[in-house]
Amino acid sequence: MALMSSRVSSSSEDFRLNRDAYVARIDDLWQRRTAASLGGSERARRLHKERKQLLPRERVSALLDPGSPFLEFSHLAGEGMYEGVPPGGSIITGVGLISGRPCMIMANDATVKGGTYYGITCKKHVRAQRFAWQHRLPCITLVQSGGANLPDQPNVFPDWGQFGTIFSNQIRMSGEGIAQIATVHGTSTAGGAYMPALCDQNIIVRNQGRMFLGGPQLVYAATKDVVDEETLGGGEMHSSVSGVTDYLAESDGHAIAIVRDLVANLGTPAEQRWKVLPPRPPKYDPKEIYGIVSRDTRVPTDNREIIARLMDGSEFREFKALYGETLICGWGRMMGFEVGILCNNGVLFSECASKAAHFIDICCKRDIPLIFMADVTGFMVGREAEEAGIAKHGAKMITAMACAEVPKYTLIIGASYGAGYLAMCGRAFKPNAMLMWPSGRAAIMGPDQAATTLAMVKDDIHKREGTTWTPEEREAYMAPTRENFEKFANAYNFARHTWCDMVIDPLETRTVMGLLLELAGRSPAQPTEFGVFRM
Amino acid sequence: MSVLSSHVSTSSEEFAINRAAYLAHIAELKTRRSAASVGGSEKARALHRSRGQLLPRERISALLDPGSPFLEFGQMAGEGLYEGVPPGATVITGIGMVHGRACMLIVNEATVKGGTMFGMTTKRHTRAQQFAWQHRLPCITMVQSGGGFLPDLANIFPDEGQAGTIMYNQVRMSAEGIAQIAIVHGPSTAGGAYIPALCDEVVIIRNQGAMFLGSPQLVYAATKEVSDIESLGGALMHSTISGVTDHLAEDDSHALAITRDIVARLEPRPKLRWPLGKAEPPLYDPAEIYGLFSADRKVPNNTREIVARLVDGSELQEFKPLFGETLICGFANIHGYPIGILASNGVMFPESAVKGAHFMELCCKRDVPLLFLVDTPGFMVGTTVERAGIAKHGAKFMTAMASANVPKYTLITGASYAAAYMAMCGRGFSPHCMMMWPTAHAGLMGPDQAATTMSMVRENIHQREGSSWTAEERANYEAPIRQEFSDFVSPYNYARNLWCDMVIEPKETREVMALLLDLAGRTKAIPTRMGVFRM
Repeated sequence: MALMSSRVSSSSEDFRLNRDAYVARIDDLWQRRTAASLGGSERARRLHKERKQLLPRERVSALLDPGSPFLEFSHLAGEGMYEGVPPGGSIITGVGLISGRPCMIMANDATVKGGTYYGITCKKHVRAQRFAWQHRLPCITLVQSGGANLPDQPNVFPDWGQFGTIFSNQIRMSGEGIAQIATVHGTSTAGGAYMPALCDQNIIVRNQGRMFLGGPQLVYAATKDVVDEETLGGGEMHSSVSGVTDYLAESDGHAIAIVRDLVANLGTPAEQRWKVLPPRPPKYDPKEIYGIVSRDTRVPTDNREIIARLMDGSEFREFKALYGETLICGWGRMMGFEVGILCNNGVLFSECASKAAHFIDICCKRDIPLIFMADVTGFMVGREAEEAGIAKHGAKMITAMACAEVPKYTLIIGASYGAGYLAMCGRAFKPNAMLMWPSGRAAIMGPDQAATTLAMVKDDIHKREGTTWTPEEREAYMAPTRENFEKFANAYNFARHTWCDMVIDPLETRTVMGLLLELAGRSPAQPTEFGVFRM
Repeated sequence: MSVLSSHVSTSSEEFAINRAAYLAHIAELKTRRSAASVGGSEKARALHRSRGQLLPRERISALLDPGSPFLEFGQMAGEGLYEGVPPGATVITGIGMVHGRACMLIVNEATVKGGTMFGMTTKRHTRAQQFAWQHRLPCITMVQSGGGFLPDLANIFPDEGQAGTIMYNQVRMSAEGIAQIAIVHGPSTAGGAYIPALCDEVVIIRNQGAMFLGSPQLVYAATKEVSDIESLGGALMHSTISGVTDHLAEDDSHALAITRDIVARLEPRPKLRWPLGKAEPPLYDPAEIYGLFSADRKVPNNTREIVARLVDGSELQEFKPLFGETLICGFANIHGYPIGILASNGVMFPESAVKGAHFMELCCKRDVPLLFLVDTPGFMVGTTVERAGIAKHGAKFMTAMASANVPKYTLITGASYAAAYMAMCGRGFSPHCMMMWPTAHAGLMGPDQAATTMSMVRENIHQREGSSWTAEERANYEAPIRQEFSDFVSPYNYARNLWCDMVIEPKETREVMALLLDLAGRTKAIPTRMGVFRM
């Protein structure tokens, strides 16, 4: 393996300014995470605890093995979307170890609007299920939810990707032998009752958990029968009379202990399919990434320096280093796992695209997972590029990327614009995980370009109508577009909509990738079949 | 087979009232369809024709075999969603015969906003692809699109199900040997250029079609290079220099003729996997459905009378007719194609649910496709059914439905609410096709129930705070909720948002089902693996 060299001077003024800017971003990230981890209002949490219930994050901690990581998905989902709903979208989802086995945990946050489902809650739940399905992770659902949030009906009820898809995923995973386990911690109505009912095994907490298709109020409205929650669908009734539940627990803690027991008996976990070497730290300090990522979006970052700070031993075997240089391709190890890296280092040209297709093809043949490190303003435009057939070379890259059945990871470290966002394994191409650094940003075009494009349209109108505008008027017209695009492109806007799975600190990158690769290596390899390459 | 008997009096007053009401529904449907078929403004259409181009629907007619049906998907998508965009969302999608072979046609409507893509355009496009993929239909994309509609950025660019997914689907279908053919009828930029570039074969029209990653304007803004459309990405350049396109056509008609030739050489049409029964009309006239379908939503329908008018010879081999009578299950034929029918005939009880689950198991073992005829207010609520375990019986039903890998069709004829919408194969469970009659209505709850539920919540607040409200205040509070829900449950709201694929009238039902079954019957059967049944 080739040891990478570095030309970064960590004592330069530029380095210091970059680092200060990045440290501010990291502070912002941690503030957002802290806010998202709190849950509902103080009053709601107190009320919850008065019922002798554990808070959702306490349940998650109790469920996990001591010292287990918890790789949270969509932590900041729904931020600022619904009045009175803190970031997180009334549900917590993530992967952790239970009895030594990685599981996907989905926990309703009943301290937020009674754990009801908004559009983003469904989206976050479904995303967690899909990750679990792809990695064959047992699903543990900690249920305490009032079901669908009525006013958000268009986003929870009628369509694909909403409540019905949560059910469908549970059932079809069960059909494929991926264990589905639920605990019922509180009152769960209608859709909320079906979630645990559709699991392979479920546990209900006595005098706390309740399941019914219609609550006492609705029963009264429909039939004039007066009935209390416990009689209608309490833990005791469902465990002894209806047979809807399988285990009766005395408390939250007891229910969680039962889950841990059940997971301990799920059969033999899958073997790791890759040869994993002992992890080695990079030779160059990853902390220096803060000082390397350009604080000015107009000044490009030398991403070779970034790669040097992410790979084990800073060792990297580059592929076609002299050809299509604005896309770096090569192999190295991350936390002991062999990976193929595709990392932008400028605009995408025809040569980069065909090099990428070639490289991806090789990785698929050798079952080496791919990491797309995106920092690109797009594909090259203009007559020369078009005549060279950039559309067909780009198509080759997209064909290879979309068809690749090896695990794929997207990490947006800087810009990711236009077709460049798509070609570098954008969300639609279903990377196993979609990560962004706080410096990551993505949109159909950059803010300046968008403003210019729209101003040019206006220019044309002026020309056609024989009118003119002053440079000040033009600038005043462009400013809001620029601002809108900046807001749109922001990593937290992507996190809010679950267009990405998580925003991570550059220093967390190796650890997160290590966990993700460990999970992917325990699912069977899938052979890749490519679409027709446009030669 | 036993012939269903009918007890409808076609001369009753009730019949006449129902019929008149239904005919008004049909008239509305026809009006909406006509509006959706026009395309852009008269001016835009005239301009289009003045360039010597065929209108999008003329292109479709010219491509299809004489007398071929055209089964349109999502015809009313986007109705009223975007200013200046007529129903259809700037694209036309549907299935027709080309050289005796069923193909999916995806056609940009360039007379509407230059064929630019809105969120609903990408949704309609990807839905058509999904259907084509499932049925292994060659895809013919007729491209003439300005690319993404910039202000709708959030709904076309970042997420799954948008522009990136269009590309993903193309490439993955190509990999599975499902032919992807494109015709470039006009200038296509950026994403618009990638759609044809990612096809197996591309036809481009001289002096009309053009493809570039950046338009001349954008190229000028980026590099100050001056170029015109033809030299930058015209048909001649791409066919002779860059090699991005494969066939050079002289005009629209020539391009369509080349496309027909390409389709003629694709692998032969697969054989039908089911033996066809003798196709015969129902014993009772399907037109009578108008008169027997209750005009008053509070008066339930006798669904057996409707089934008698949809199946061949009015013959239904009913399964468990004396058990769980509110769900009719049975085997029948439609135009000779075998079908397993689950038709609601009232509220779902535990008995209906287990009967349905049992019946679906039979259909999966015997490779009989399923038709869900939906007209139910929901699952039964109350102490009796909860103690009888309705949650687990409902779960069995959902498990069988979601796991079933036989072709599934959902037709909502009347009510479809709450968990029953899901259980009767709602959109979240990906039926092969989701259809609604004009009389259908679906939601989390009905308008009256929603209004009552919301005002009961309000009443509790009054009680708690010791305040009160008058009956009039209550009615004023309920009215807008009732209105909102009543707008929501309309089939045209479902069609607008693509929550259903089409709104069809009762008399079209047999033909549409026969077309769909013929398409599904030419794919390989997939074995079903049921999830764990909650016994």
